[in-house]
Amino acid sequence: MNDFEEKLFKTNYHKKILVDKDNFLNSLHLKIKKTEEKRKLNNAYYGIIVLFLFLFINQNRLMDNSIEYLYYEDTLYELDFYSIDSDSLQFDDEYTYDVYMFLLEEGDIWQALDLINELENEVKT
Amino acid sequence: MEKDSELIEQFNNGDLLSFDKLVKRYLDKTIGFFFNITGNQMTSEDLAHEVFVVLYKKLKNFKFQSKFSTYLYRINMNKANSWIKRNKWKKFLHIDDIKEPSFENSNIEKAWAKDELWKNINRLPKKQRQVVTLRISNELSFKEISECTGLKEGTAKVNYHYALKTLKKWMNYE
Repeated sequence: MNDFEEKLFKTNYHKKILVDKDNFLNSLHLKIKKTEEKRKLNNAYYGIIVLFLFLFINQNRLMDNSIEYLYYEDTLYELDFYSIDSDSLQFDDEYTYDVYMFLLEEGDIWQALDLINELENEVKT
Repeated sequence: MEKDSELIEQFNNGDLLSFDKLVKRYLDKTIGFFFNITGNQMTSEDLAHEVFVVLYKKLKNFKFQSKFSTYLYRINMNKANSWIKRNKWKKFLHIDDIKEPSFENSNIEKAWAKDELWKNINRLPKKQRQVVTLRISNELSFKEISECTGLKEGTAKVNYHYALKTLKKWMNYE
C-alpha cells in the first residue's frame, strides 16, 4: 500500500459515526409498515381498476348479446309487432293455438301472454 | 454469535428479531458507506433506511449463492449510484451552488479535506468509483469487489489503479 492509498483509508468516516441503533430500528420498522400499507393500498386500487375494466367490457358484451337474442327470438317466431300485424288476419285459431303451445313448451310464458294480448287487442280493433 | 445465514433463515421462518440483529450488525458499515459518499449523516441514515426496507422485502428470495455482506454491499452500491445520479441533476438545477474542486489549490492539506476527496471520488467514472468506494469504505479485497460488482478481479484492480491515478492528479498529489 503506497502513501496515497494510506491517506485514502484514513479518510474512512464510518469508524467515527455514532448512530442510535434502537432509534434507527424503530423508525425503520415504521417505514416498513408504511411501505407495506402503501403496497396493499396500491394493490387494492389496481384490483378495483381491473374489476371496473372487466365489468365495463363484459357489460358491453352482455348488452350486445341480449339485443341480438331478443331480435333473433322475435323474428324467428314472427312475433314482432309488424309480422303479427300484417299476417294476423290470415291466422286461423289452430295456428294460433300451435304457436301458443309451442311457446309454453319452450317455457316462454311471458311471450305467450304477449301473444294473447296482441291477438285480443287486434280483435277489439 | 449466530452466522448471517442462520439469522436470515430464522427471519424467513418468521422471527423478526433476527432481522433486527442483522440490521444492527451491518448498520455502522452501511451508514459509514453512505456518509463517505454524501457527507451528510441525515442523508446517510435515510439511504440506509431505504436499503434495509429493500432488504426486508427481498431477503425471502436470498439464495445463499454469495455471502450476505456481498449482497448487502451490492444493494448499497446501487443505492449510492442512484443517489449520485439524482444529486447530479440537483446540482445541475442549482448550478450556482456548486463548489468547484480546487484543482489548482496549492494548499495540499486543504485539498486533502475529506469532503473534497469524496466529492472527487464521486466524479470518477462509474466502474472506478464503485471499486474505490468498496475498497476504501468497506475495506473489501479485490475478490470481494469482483463478487459485488460483477467485474473480473483483474479489471477491478486496473480500475482501482486508474482511479487512484486520476485522484492524485485532481488532488495535486505528487
